[in-house]
Amino acid sequence: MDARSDEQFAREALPFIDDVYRFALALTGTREDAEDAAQETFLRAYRSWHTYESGTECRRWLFTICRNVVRSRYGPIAQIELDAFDAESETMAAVLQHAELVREGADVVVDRALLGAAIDQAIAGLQEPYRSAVVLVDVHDQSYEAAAEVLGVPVGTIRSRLFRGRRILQGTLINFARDAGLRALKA
Amino acid sequence: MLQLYDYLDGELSEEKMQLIRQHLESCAPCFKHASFEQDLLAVLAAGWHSVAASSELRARIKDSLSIARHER
Repeated sequence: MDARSDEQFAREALPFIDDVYRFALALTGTREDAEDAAQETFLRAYRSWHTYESGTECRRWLFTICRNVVRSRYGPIAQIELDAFDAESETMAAVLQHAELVREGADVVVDRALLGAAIDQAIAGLQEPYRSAVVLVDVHDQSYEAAAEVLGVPVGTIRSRLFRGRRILQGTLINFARDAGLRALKA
Repeated sequence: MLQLYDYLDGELSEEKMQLIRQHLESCAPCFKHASFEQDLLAVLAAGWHSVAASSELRARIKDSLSIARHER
């Protein structure tokens, strides 16, 4: 690669080291594996830089390489698919859960985001394939279509993974908030 | 609920976005629920944003790129 391409790579790709690391962490679940995958991602991107079209979505391109790296290193990405995803009953459960929180007054605690200690626990407890969908859309603001392209699945699969993943994460946080809220009410 | 997430993610057509926006403006319980979901998503996103690559990883990446550069 010539000096100009090197500069372009440094300017367009390297700012996304954190993003790629977070996505790799979502896919692999461990810091060590995520660091190896992120390093390999940037090496592959560097070697393929001549195929990259300047001005296109560099971060999405890096996510796609990262997903391929993880797949080639660790085999197929976990495909624990939604078992009989029932949007209607899950939606009803979510609405009832919120109504219950409102009655308890615990939703105020959630609104105040006193959840620091629970967030790490919630994220660590979320399994693939939900975690990567949540990280792409909620953390990195990727559209459903972009997330589907990166993960190589249909858009509908992204929607259902997001729905279920968010419910799991929120359930963990809500339990924490409920406890915190009840403690606050008792104090 | 699926549509609420589609709305919060900006995944609906402008027409549907507008319909939901109007509904939320006139329905306090739905507005409260939507705000609750939005706040939770924001809290989760903030949690992930606090995860960052270590300085060791940054150095490893730069070293491997440097080696690749000299291999050419």
